[in-house]
Amino acid sequence: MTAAPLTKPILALPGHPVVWNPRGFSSGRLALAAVVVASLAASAAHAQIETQPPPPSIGADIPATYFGPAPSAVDKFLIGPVQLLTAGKVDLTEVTVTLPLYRGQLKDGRKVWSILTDTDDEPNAEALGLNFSSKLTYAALCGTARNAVSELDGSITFDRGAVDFSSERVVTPGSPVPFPPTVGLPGSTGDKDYTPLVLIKNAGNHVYNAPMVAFDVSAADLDKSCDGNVDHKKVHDKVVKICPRDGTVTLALTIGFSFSRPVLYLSTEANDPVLASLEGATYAPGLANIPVGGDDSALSPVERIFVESNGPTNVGGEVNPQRQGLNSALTDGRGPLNVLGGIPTIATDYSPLWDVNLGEWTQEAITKGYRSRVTDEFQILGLVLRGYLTGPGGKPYGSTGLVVNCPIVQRLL
Amino acid sequence: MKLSITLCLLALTAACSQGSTSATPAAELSPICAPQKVGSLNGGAVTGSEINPAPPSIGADVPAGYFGPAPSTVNPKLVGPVLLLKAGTVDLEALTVTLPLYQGRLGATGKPVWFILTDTDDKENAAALGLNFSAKLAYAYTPGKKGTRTGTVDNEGTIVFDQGTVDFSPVHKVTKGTTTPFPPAEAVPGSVGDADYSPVVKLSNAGGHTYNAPVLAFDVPADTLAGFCTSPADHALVHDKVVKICRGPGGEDNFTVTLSLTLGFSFGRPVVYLSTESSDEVAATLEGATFAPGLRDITVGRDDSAFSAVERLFAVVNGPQNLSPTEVNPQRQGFYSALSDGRGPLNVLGGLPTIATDYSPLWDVNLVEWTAGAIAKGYRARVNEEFQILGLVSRGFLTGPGGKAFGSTGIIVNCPIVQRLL
Repeated sequence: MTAAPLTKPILALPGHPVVWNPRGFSSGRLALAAVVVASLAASAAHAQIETQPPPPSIGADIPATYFGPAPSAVDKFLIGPVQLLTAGKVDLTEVTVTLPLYRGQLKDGRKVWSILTDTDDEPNAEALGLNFSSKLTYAALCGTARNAVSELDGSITFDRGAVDFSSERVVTPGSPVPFPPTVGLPGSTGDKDYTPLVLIKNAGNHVYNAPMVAFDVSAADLDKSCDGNVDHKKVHDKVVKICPRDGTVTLALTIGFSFSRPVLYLSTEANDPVLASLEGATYAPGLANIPVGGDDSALSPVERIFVESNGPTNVGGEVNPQRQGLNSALTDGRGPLNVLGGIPTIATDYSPLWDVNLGEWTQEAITKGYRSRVTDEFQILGLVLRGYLTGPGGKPYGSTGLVVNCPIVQRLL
Repeated sequence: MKLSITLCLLALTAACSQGSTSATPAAELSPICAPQKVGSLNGGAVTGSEINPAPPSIGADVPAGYFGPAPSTVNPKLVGPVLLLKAGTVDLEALTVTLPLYQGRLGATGKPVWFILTDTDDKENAAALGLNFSAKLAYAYTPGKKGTRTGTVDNEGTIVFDQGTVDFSPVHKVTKGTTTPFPPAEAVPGSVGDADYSPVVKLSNAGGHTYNAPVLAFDVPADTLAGFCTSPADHALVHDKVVKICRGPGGEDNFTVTLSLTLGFSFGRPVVYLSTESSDEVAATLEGATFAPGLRDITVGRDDSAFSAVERLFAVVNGPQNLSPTEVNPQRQGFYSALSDGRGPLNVLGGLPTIATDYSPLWDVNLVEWTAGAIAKGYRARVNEEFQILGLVSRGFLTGPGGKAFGSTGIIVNCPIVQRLL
């Protein structure tokens, strides 16, 4: 698959039908000229982290060196930076994470290259530096996990699920409103059985989140990308470097918030092709059956992610400190700054499977100047309660039916 | 009084040009300057609905009853409501906290001192008594200075204070400014401490620990206070935040006091806190608090460094305001708002227990003002988190008052944290 470089224009396919149609969301059909659209999820890689907390010494009479350590250094549940996916090495300058690359195979022998990010096996999550998610137990109930066995050589054999990475990701913003896009083609597509989740039969029947980053490619071929120069026709669009020789893969991260804390996360799959294209992720049809809307109730495998369609956009050539949302992202190529619900060390209800709740500021709210960046779930729900945020087109607020697989990587605060 | 001076330089209001923020009789003011019933900015007029977290079931397909408990019930450091000042009972509808009222006495005169306990640097006894632990309070005491009172626990288990009296007889008065609502044209605190008064007391025994012990009444008989259980509290005798004082539970000498709370944020979480004293007359007036001159002897500006007794509080001068009297702007914030609509300013606190390690009830007021450029570009919105504010400062969208450098105003407010709402 080929994802155009993040700053390189992507040619739209004239007249390509839009398939974004979650729960009655209106779609359009417009042919547009070529536009620059970075992956909405990965675009931070070439910009500073606009949500990076500044030094605490601003406005103080003492330099930062005289400040005590961040409270999170004393207790990870307190405020301050915390790496959550400790299996990885985060580069805050490049906005990437380098993780162990796991080799495996399908039953027919084709090679599967994966990462591990989350599991419902708490002790092994801790031991391996993965995120613990008790909700993943429920994800396997609806047939949305592949089955696999761990082999004696340490590899994993999957019973099903292939991904075609050869496609070219194409996103064409809508007009006059950038979102929804007129064209949204994902850069990689799984077969009907592909889901990033896997139930490992001989490892306590636990569920792991194991997004595939390359398929049916030899180690020798991938080793050519140890220093970068990746071929996105062979690997996931988020891959910056991949090196079976060293057992590592480096992936681009996404910026967002969780309960007003700026965070970084991976975005690897979506159950909708347009959403997958926006996220720079793999379209994973196997996630289609994940039940949504149940949030933190029994048997719910998802946690909510709050996406704004029409948040504030940049003013002139300046980055608006309030900028947010899909219109922004499709216009300026930066990320949409989505708001995540619970993540480890902040809440108990984390799941990497995010139930997309799409919010739209009403015209009234915009006219009155109430529109701003939002950073916290309950702030958003309060605005919904007062009628300033609705679902798309004024419809009731709630789940779009879309799911994105976004393992949390790091709290910046 | 750093702020008072700054205010006059900034505003050049009629009241300021008269050289006083407190002595101008209302009758001499033009109608626009006449005192308005804005109330104190903290407590009283505000309602909990403004920042209360919405039910988690909004937009979900299941009712709230099917949701698991708030994560904070599993671990208080996780998100969700947490009562921090456990000595108290919070009423979120009335926005009050009811606390034990302690009777002590002033050593020199033996006059009764009625106070509450909210914070201490004695970690174990903080936990045992349901008070907030603040390691920074150990740094409030400087020999020969008035940042803390001194006292001793006597044989009867109460505190004998060595110094510090409070006069509760002044009438609280706030008149918003003429050109802009803030700074106010007139500001008279409802209670004034003497030169030695600080709410903080360092005990000579009891491990030499320091307590936050705001005085709510001074030299008032117990029976008089007991009358404020069924009749409205007389604010000429007690602190302006007092809603009710009642006898009990148990013996005749036991009392509880109910106090108005203030809404704010800490790292994006809505919180409620007490606001009882300030080192500045104008700030004390705006807060509905006691002017406590002794607090001027506590060093500010050093935030989380060694020997710093303070934590930073961020107050906004010119945040968004209501567009009409009938609708609360979800972005409203700041002194312009508070002086115009009578609701709270929604200040942003730094670290609190369960969120950070650097909590102190002594808040170093950092005042921020949105620049005209930021307002023109539509960047102005409610802020609710320290590093969000510092980021806006670093980009030049927020400055100190009047475009001056951002930082400490030199003013301290004593605001013990009471509860996280999230």
